Amino acid sequence: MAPQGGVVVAAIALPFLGAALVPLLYRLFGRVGGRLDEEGVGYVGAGVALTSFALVVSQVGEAGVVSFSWIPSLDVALRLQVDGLAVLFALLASGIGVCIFTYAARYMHGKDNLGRFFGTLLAFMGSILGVAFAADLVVLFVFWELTSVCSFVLIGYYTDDDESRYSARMAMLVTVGGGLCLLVAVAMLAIGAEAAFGARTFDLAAMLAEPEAMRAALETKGLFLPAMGLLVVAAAAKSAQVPLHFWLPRAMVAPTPVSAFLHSATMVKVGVYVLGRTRPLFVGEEWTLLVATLGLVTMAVGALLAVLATDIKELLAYSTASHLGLMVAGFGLGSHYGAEAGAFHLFNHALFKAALFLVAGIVAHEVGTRDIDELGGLWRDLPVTALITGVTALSMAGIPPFGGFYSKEILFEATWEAAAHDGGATWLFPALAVFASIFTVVYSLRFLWLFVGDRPEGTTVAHRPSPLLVAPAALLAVLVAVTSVVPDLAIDAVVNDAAAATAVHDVEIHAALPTHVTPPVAMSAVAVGGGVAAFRVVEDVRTAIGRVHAGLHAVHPEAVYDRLLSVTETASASLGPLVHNGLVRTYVSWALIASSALALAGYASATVAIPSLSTEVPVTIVLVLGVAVLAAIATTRAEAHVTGVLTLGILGFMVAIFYILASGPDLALTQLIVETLVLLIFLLVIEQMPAFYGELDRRIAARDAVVSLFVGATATVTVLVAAPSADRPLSDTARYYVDSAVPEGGGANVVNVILTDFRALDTLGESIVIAVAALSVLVLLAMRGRGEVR
Amino acid sequence: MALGTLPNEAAILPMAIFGITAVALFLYDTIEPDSTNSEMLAGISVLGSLSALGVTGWYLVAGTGQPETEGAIRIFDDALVVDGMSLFFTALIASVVTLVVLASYDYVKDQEKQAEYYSLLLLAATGMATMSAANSLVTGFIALELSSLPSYALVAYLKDNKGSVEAGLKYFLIGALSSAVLAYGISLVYAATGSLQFEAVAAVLADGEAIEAPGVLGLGVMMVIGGFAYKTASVPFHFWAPEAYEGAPAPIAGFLSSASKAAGFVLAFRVFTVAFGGPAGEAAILETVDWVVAFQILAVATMTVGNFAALKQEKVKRMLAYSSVGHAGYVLIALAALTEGADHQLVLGSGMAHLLVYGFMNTGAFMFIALTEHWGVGREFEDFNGLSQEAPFAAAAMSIFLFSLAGLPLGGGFFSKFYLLMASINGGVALLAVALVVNSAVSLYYYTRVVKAMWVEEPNGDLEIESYPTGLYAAIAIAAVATVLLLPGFGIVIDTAQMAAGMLV
Repeated sequence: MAPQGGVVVAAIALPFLGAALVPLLYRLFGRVGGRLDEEGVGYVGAGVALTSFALVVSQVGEAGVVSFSWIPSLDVALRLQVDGLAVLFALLASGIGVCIFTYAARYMHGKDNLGRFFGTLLAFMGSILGVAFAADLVVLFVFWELTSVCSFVLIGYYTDDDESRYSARMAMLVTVGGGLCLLVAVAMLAIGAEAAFGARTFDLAAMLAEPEAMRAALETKGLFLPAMGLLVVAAAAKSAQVPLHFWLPRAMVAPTPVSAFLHSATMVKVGVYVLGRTRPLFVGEEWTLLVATLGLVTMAVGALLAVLATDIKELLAYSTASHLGLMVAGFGLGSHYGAEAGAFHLFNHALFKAALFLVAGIVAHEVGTRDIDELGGLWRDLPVTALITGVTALSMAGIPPFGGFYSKEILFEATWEAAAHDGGATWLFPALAVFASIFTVVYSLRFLWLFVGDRPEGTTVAHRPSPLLVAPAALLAVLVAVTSVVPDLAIDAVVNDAAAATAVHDVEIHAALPTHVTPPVAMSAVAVGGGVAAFRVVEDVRTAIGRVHAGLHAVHPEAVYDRLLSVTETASASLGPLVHNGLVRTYVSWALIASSALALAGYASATVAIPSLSTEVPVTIVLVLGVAVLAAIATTRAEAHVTGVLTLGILGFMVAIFYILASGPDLALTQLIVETLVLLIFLLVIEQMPAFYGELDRRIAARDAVVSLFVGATATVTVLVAAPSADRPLSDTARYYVDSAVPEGGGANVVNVILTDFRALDTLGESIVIAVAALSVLVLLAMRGRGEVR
Repeated sequence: MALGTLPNEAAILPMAIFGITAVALFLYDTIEPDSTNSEMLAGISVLGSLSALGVTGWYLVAGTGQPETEGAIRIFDDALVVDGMSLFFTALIASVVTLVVLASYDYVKDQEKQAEYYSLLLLAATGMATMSAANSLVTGFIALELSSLPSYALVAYLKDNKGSVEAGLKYFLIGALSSAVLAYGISLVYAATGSLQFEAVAAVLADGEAIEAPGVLGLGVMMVIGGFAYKTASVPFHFWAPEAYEGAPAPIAGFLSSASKAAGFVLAFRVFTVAFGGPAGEAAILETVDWVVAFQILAVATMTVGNFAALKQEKVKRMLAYSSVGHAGYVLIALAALTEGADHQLVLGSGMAHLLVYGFMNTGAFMFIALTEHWGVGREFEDFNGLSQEAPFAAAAMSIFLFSLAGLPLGGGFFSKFYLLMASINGGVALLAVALVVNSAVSLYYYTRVVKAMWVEEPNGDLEIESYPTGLYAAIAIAAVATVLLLPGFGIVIDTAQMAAGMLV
């Protein structure tokens, strides 16, 4: 059945509309006063999320593309695709959104700038819905970047916190930097589409409909691997894959509802989602090698770091990275099991991780600390929360019969299948998966132990959490429980369709408790058994991991990021003074160097030959020019300004003599007059200047010498190249003037005749201009000291 | 003809309106010298620029000088041409001038010599609009000087401010040097081809035999590139830009970095696609001197120097100045990607569209700087701390400008940059694409510094904002709305730009 375009657009547009109105509502409620202003906007947000959720639910089971024209010339359009994957992702975003808004309304009670907070959160949700339904690469990119911008604002919400500012920018730079990779990949795909379909298009749905043609086109253009690589880098940055995972734990300085929503359930999943979406286009050996390895390594590294964490939100953050790795690995593996694992875990993880974050928020809110060592035995004070944690943490650990077990089991199946099929180094896949899962169990139990056992001394629980804080987490836990008991409910509703959208094979998800021993079941057994065993000696394990972690300090991505930033900043700081020190002479020398370089490049590219020099130069000319050169050298070495100017004068007069010797007396006359004037002006100006500037820096002098030699050489080459060769005949114009100078102008000096006779009107005009300028100067001088009016 | 009952000369009406407005302001000043009636002066100026914008818009809609009527309108022996390109840029310049005048109303309200200020502004605009229609090297040069000379004076307008005067002088000195380079280049091109009119130059070049001295022509082309690099503030002739922008009154800085740059580019587009390129001349000129490669080098150098230098600036205005240099580098892609086999219409059109979007977002950003100068909050990043608490609307608008400048899809800046990326890939110049992407990432770093200061940091000490000037706020609001609307409405812009580009290439 075809989807209804209006409904989908409304689902996406409503949150944005809400984002625009919420700040106004906030002011309005503030004026009304009472409880309304404190929490009202949060519930408005929840209402908007619920409406979007309902709209998305109405599209379950439908498939198709709706399109609205945007930029026809490039075939960019607002294309929205409805299929299983899109609906699953949109349902998660809006559904969890409802829980988060309800929770946040209470959690953020009494904080500042709530209008901005809820507005951004709504805009964020709209962007996620946009990503989910986007079937046009440009639209996808627009919404993708919007999620980064919203996340920047939300992470920076606690403005008085130093770390918050640092982290907000880090998240922004990493994810948007990744986004730029996506942009290039988008451009490459568009070029591939141009080759495949004969017209430039950004229609992702069309590309996915013809994966074979697209692949062939991209491969012939040599863009297949670059496009795939860039897309994976973008997804890795967004979905916190190693080594770009470091921003995610940092982002945990955001308020807890934001962490729960953005950094567990939605934004970080965008990368995974796009990998799943484009999977049919790229899946193959290279894809598996790159994506599955990336995912499994992240899964392991994230799990290890989560075990090492000391803060409950940090633990959850690293665990998120690890689980994202699991989904990426799933989508990376080529078999249908891979697609199933990715899609199913996408669903499971969103439910249990959002709930766990909300639990972390409750704990921090009621106990006042997030330090794991200071927490324990909370079940006495927070029984309902403890129950929620029990269900969700065990699902996270992948312990049967909880929901997380089923999807992890399918991943094991997929890695085993890949290894059995390809053999060799691919046996590392199942090994890595089991290794990571052992530590997943360890940190899940660590989190669960917050509630079990004895309470450390000095920890007090302020009061029972408000039901409004617990209810959203409880709702999510109930959903986890339902999925655990009847997994087919979710699978049939939407997950199977979602997996099918990412797969190239037929998909049929089976989720049931194992009845006989298969390799994946054995892997699960090893993971759970090993995890429980390791948890008994958890402190030793942590010390060991900590030692390795500290030993690798120099290559921590965060250290690399900081170093990269500081190197760039240093480079920028030194670039400024080098090219831009505020002195006009520096600018002039750069401009001259550049002009000379441009000129030489011009000659080089035109491959002009330098004409050979005639050797017959009269001795007198050599003598005169020799004196000029000596004078030039003497000028640079003159002690006092006056000496310098006078020696410069010698140079000028030598040039004048040269003109006389080269039979150009009129030029010589001009040169003499100019030279004398310049000398006089110089002498007048020198009076006003300091006699001593400072010591000469030899390096600067040497640099200036090189620059002047370079510019001089260019000038020489230019004269040689541009001067007409002696044997070239006169042009028609020149011939005309030479022939008619004497008969028509009555003068033998052709230049003079042109100026005073042939082009006399031009000369008159120029004279008038000079006269007018002189008059203006006179007027200005006369009016000096008084305005125009007085 | 294409104008219905109007004579062909009416096609230059927008330029004429700018000029007439400038003269009207002079007249007003003669009748009432030293007037401080800002409402009147700014009113006349806005009326002038809006009429120019209106007439240009009418021509664009009516198809004047465009293929759907009778093609380009040529006047004064082909010295001027009114076509899609000239109308596109005249509209851009008129929009920027309107914003600048609105902002200037508050900025120069308490200054002397306001009539001179506004008339110089409109004279410069006349020059820029003429540049967009110049169809000969000599009209181009004269128009360029007409736009430059008032600009020098405008930069130094704050006579009692040392920075302003120093900036004006430096701008003038470098400008004089660069004009000399350009004039020399033009004379060499004339020497080699015997013509100054673009199509005539192209015709000579197409007939390869007719070139008298290839070396002279090559040198001339290179010198012309140098001259345009100065006007568009491209490396290595950009030195005036950061200092002139920093010292100039902020509205003038916005004017120079948006409109003046656009005018420089439109002339460069015309010279290089019509005179030194085009279907006829291309082969011959590329044998003589491959200017596409020269532009590739310039583009990469300009982007990189501009963005990396902006990274570590302490003053926001200077950072914007360097970012403006970086953006000149992005637009240079429009010439650098004109390789053989590229879709020239796409390449040139994307550069034009970027200039238009840039005209709004960059002018808007400088208007915000003008606002902070009006408030006297200081010039460094730290001084912007917590501005969002006092002025949330202006801070939100500034954030939109900056994100759009960085190429994030909050405004049209995303699409124009994306088109430039497509153009680089289409031209087969991977280096340009890489430089564009890397530099965009770098630029994000310093743009977010401002956003972070405004929204995330706590205000230092007592930040008190007393007034909310109407003119500046109106300018910022218009620019912000335009920047945002250019995201959904980019289709119209790019279609117009490509249509205009298609008339040249």
